Amino acid sequence: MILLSLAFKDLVSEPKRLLSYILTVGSLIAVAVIPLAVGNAYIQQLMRFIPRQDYHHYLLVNSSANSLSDSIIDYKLLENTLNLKNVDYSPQLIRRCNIISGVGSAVTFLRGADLNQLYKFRGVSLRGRMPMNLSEANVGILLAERLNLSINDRVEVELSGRRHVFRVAGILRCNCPYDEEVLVQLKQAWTLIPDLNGKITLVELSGEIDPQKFAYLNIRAIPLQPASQAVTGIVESTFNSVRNWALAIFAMVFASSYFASLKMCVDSIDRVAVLRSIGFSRRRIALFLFYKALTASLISILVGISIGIVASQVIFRAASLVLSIEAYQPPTLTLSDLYLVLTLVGILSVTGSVPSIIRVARMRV
Amino acid sequence: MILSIVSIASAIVAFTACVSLGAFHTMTNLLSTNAGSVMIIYGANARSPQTSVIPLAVYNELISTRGVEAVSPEVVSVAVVSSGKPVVVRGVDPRSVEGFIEFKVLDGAFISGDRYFEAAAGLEVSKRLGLKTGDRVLLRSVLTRNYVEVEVVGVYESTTSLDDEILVPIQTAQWLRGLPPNAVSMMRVKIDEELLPREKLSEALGGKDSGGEVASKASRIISLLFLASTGNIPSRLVVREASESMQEFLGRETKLNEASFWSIAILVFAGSISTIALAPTLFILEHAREISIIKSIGGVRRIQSAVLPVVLVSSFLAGLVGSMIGYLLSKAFSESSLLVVGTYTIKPATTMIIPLVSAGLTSIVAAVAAKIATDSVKTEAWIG
Repeated sequence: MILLSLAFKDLVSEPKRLLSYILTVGSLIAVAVIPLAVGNAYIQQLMRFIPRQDYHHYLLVNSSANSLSDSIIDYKLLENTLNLKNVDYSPQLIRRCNIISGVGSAVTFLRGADLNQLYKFRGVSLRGRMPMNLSEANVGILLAERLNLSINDRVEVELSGRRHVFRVAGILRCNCPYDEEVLVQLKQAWTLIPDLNGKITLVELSGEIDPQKFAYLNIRAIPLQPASQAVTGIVESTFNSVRNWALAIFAMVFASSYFASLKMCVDSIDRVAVLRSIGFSRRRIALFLFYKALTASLISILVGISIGIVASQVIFRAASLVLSIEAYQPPTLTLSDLYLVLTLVGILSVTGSVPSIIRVARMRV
Repeated sequence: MILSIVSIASAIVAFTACVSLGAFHTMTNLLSTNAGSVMIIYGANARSPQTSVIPLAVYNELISTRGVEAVSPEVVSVAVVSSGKPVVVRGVDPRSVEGFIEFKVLDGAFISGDRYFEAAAGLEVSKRLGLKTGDRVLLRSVLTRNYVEVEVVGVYESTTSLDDEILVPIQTAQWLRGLPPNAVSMMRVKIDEELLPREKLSEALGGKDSGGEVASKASRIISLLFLASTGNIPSRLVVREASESMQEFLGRETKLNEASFWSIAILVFAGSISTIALAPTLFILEHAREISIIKSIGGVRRIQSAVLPVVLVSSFLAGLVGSMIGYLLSKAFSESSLLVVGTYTIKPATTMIIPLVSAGLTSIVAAVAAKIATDSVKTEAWIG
C-alpha cells in the first residue's frame, strides 16, 4: 500500500512527464475507440431505420433436411395442424427428374401440387389445360422451348428410376421456376412415386403463425423475404471489419506501452537509486515501478476512451452536417465494446510495461 | 529501438491506409473488369446500376451496332442463404459474360445458363459461406417473397468483385428480383473506340425499334427469354464507365470519396505521433551524457549533422519495411474474410503511394523528435 501511494505521488509530482505517458498510449486508444463508437452509432442509426419486420409468408420444411430436395414431411399430420389455423397454404411434392423428348433431354424437377390453387397464387398463364389424368402433365415455357415441345406432344419422364410417358396437356408461363419444370396434380405425383404416398416436400404458407409451434412435428418454418435480416447481416459484417481493424491498432498499444514505460523507468532512475540506497530490494523496486506503470496505464485508458468518445462525437456531428443527416444516434461504446477495449488495452499496456520494469530493476544504480 | 517502433507505427498506418483505400476501391470497382473499354448501361432514374431496371430489348440494339464487340445483360439481386447471411446473386448469360471477365474454374464447372437451378460460387463467397460443388443452397430473395434452391455446380475465381457473388442464369435472378423475362438490371458493353466513340454509344441507343427480332448473335437462353416475354419495359438509359458509375453513386448517396478514406489513415498516424516521437527521444536521452560532452566543446552542429540524417534515412527504411508488413497484414486479414464491406471482401489497396507516405511521415516525425531531444540536452548534464 505504501509502495502504491509512493508510486502515485511520484507520478503526479511531474505532471509534464505524466502527460506525455498518457498522451502516448491514450492517443492510440482514442484512435481505436473513434471508429468503434462511430460504427456503433451508425449501426443503431441504421437499425432505427429498418422497420421491425412481421413475417406473413413462410416455407415449411423438414427441420432435419439439409436442402429442399431432402425434405420429406408427413402431410396428413401437418394438414390437421394447418386446418386449425387461419392460413392459406400450398403443399408440394418436388422431385428431380429427367425429361426426354425427340429433340433431347433435360434434368429438371417434377412438382406435384394442387395446380388450381398454385396457378392462381402465382398468376400462371396456361396455354392448353391442366392435367386431368395420370398420363398428362404441364410443362414450363422455357423447358418447352428448349425441348421444342408443343401441346399434345409426348414426353418421357424418368423419375425415381422409373420411366413414365406423359402427354403435354398445357404449357405454362409464370416468370418463375415453374417455367422450367414439369407440373402434375399432387395426387397424381403420389401415384407416380408410391414410396412418397401421403408425403410432401414443402408447404408454402401465407398467414400469421408461431414458427416454434411446428417444432414438435419436426418442421422448420423459414420466413420469406427476410429483408431486415439481410440488412442487419450486411451492417454487422461491415462493422465487424472495423472491429477487426481496431484489433491491429491495439497491437500498437502494446508497443506504445513498452516505450512509454521505458521512458518512465528511465525518468525514475534517480528515485530507484534513492530507494536502493535506503535498502529497498530489487523486487520491491520492480513493484514500485509496476505500480507507476499500472497507474499511468489506467489513467491512459480512461483518458483515451474519453478522448475517443468526445472526438467521435465531434467527427460524427461534422459528418452528419456534411451528409445532411438530421436525426442521429450519438456515438458511444456498447458495453461489450467497452469490456473489449478495457480488457484488451489493460492487458496489453500492463504486459507491455513489464519488460522495461524488469530491465530497470536489474540495472546497477 | 527507434527502428522497431517506426516499423510498427508505419505498419499500422500502412495497414489502415491499405484497408480504408481498399474499401473505397472495392466499392468503386464493383463493376470493373480488365477487359479494356467497358461501359455500363443502366436506367437514368436508378440510384445505381445494380438497382436499375432496363429492357432486355436493348441487347438487340447493342449487339447489332457497329463498334460494339460484346454485350453482357445482367440481373442483380440480393438473397439470404440458409445460415441467414446475405449474398449478391447475379444473373448472367455465361457466353456473354465470358467476353468481359476471365473465369478460372477452381472446382466443378461453370454455369451453362440453360438450367434454372444451377449456380456457381465465387471463391470469396464460397469461403465465407462454406459452399462447395454439389451443395444445394436455398436462396430467399430479400426484395420479393420468391425463393429458389440451386445446386452449386462449381467454384470460380475472377479476381473481380464477382468472387464475392453467386452467379446464376439470368432467369433465376429475374425470379428472385421479381423482374419479367424481358427486363434486366444493367448491361456491360465492350466497344471498339475507333469505330464507336463512347459518347456516340448513348446516341446509338434508343434510336431504333427495340422490339424487333432477336439478333442472330444472341445466346439461346436470351432468345428463349425474348420468347417468354410480353409487353415493353420503358426506360431512359445512361452510359457510364464502370468505375465512374459507382463513384457517382457513392458521392451522391453517401458523400464519400477517396479523400474521406485517406483521412482515416491520417487519423491513425496522428494517434501514433507521440509513440513515434518517444522512441528517438529515449535514444537521445540514453546518450545524453555523450551528447552533452560534445556540445560543451562546441560540437552542436556536428551532432545534428551526424544524428539527424542517420535517424531520417534509417527510420525511412524501417518505415518501408513496416509498410510492407502492414500490407501483408491487410492481405492476411482480407484472405481470412475478416474485412468485409457489405457483402464484398475488401481487397487491400496496392498503390506505391501508401508505403512512401507512411514511411515518409513516420521518419519525419522521428527526425523532428530526435532534433528536439538533441537540442534539449544541456551542456552541463555530463558534469553530474
